[in-house]
Amino acid sequence: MRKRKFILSLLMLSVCTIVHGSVADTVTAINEHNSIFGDVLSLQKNNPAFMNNAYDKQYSELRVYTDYEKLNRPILYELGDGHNYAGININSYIKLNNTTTVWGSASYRSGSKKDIKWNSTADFSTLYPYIMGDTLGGNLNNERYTFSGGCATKVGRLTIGELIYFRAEHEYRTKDPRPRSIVTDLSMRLGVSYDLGKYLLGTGLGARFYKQTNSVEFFKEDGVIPEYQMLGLGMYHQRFSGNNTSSYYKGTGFCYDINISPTKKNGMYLSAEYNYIPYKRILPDMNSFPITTLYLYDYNGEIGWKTVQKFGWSCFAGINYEKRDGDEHVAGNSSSGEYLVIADMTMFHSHKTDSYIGGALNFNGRTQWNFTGRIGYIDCASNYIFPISKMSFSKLYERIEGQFIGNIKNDITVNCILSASYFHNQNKDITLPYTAMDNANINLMEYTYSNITGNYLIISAKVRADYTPSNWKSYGMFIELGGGRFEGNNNNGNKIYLSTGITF
Amino acid sequence: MRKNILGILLLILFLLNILSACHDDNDDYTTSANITISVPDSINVEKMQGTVTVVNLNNKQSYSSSEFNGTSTLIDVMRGSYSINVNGTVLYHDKQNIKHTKSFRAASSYSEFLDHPAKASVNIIFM
Repeated sequence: MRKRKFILSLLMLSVCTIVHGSVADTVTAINEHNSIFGDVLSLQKNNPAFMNNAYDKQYSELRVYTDYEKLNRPILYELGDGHNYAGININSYIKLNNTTTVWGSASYRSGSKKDIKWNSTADFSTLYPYIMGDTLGGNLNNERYTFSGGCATKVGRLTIGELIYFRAEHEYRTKDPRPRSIVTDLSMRLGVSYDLGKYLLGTGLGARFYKQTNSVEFFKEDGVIPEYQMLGLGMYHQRFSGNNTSSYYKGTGFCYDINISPTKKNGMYLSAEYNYIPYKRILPDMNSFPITTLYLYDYNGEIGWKTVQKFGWSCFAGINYEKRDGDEHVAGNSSSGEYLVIADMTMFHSHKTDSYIGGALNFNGRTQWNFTGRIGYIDCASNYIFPISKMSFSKLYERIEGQFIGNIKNDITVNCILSASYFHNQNKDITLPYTAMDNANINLMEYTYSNITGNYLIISAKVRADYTPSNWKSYGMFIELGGGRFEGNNNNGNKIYLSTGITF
Repeated sequence: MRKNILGILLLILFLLNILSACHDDNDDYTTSANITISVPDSINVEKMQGTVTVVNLNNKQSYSSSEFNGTSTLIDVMRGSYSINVNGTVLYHDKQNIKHTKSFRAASSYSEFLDHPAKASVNIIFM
């Protein structure tokens, strides 16, 4: 309760700060901050020094939303088959003067994730495969708080930017098995850029501190089921699975980037970013035995050209590469419940590469039309050393997106986005040590394999209407309705998003 | 000036690249485990037959061998901590040169197979 009051007071404080710095030209700001053409070649915005001229107009938005998604059956057991969230977000980008820009956000989200199995740990997508899971699962309640704040100041030709981001997440179930995960995730970034005249050249450094406490309890008299300490590709730790229902994750990582972007938005963009963080999984009940460490690497690179005029266009190419190496720490003999690490072995490897090329068009007249498209190739492979398990697949994908922004009445601006993506599988392969696996684990892997190697079609649409009457000065309000359809070989589902809020 | 800045940026990138080489794979996975059955000095083993089974305590994987070289056997295993169980029959002669044939067992609840080769010894128990 006290935590919620603290968050609400922070939100109010943010609103007060923002109102002071608002501008009159709200419609232009709304269009600029919600344009899909503006999102093209935007990797350099991760470096806070480049936020000084990321947008021409300042813009703030407070929104409340509900977000609902349901599939007929999950794509991955661990992620469930849908969610139902409600939340409040506030985002702000303010130019304090010609040299200083500040931006920030605060959000609270509450809701539930549906029908999760084989996963009792929060942040599955980050910590995979080193999670805890069971065969029963169920719905999970989730609460998330985020805060971020950044500042970029220009001193002569040099711009210095700082950014801090914090996320706290609480995930739990009130029915057996009762997992509880509490996550704290803090990121900090520092960036510098130098104005070369036509281009900005910059680099940045960042640090990330991650912690999660995770436990599962059983209260009913019916008994307990084993919690598996997963190791990858359906394998689990035979010695420490079962009654070990607590784990603790911690990670300290860093990132750096280098960017070149044009000063006036017209020209060549080049961005490269590297993120590295090792996550250690510790068993508190085993005298803090470090059972595994996941080394997570992320490389992102993008190069392209953008022309921003009455008729704007862009072409780009990029690559996102994610690599996971998993070390298992071999436990020695138990001495008074304390286990020594006698050897380390890198047992799990996985990589995912997403390479793409694309283009974008922008027609700016009385109304604005934007089109973006990309073709990409995703290649994924994972392997477990012993017993030998392998899984791989590759997909070709195409995505097109169109946007219309225009005034339908003096005070009302409409923003419509339609997008369609199609992922078609090219290659797939799996090798499993069936004789060394339980039936439940075989089912987990075969189910996962059949779904992730399928073809998908994703269609989504969004309509947003902004009401900005002139006598409201710089204030406006909006309503947004979005929806989507997922069609896969084995799965299909729908998504609905409804939001309303104020802009200033 | 521009060249200097570009040079500094390249130097920073080079240093960061060195820093980023943080983790090397620990790919020393297997070893040969040399398991010796220790026998009393009072007997002289002529032949040993049986099965040596080692079980990895962490992943429960078991390995077996029935090929004895004297009182030792060699098994290729994954490095780690193991329990050892031996069941077999031994033909030996005592100090009076009288031949005997006896069943035996030998066991250890914990042995580490980490070195190359890894060595472990278990005491014989005659049945």
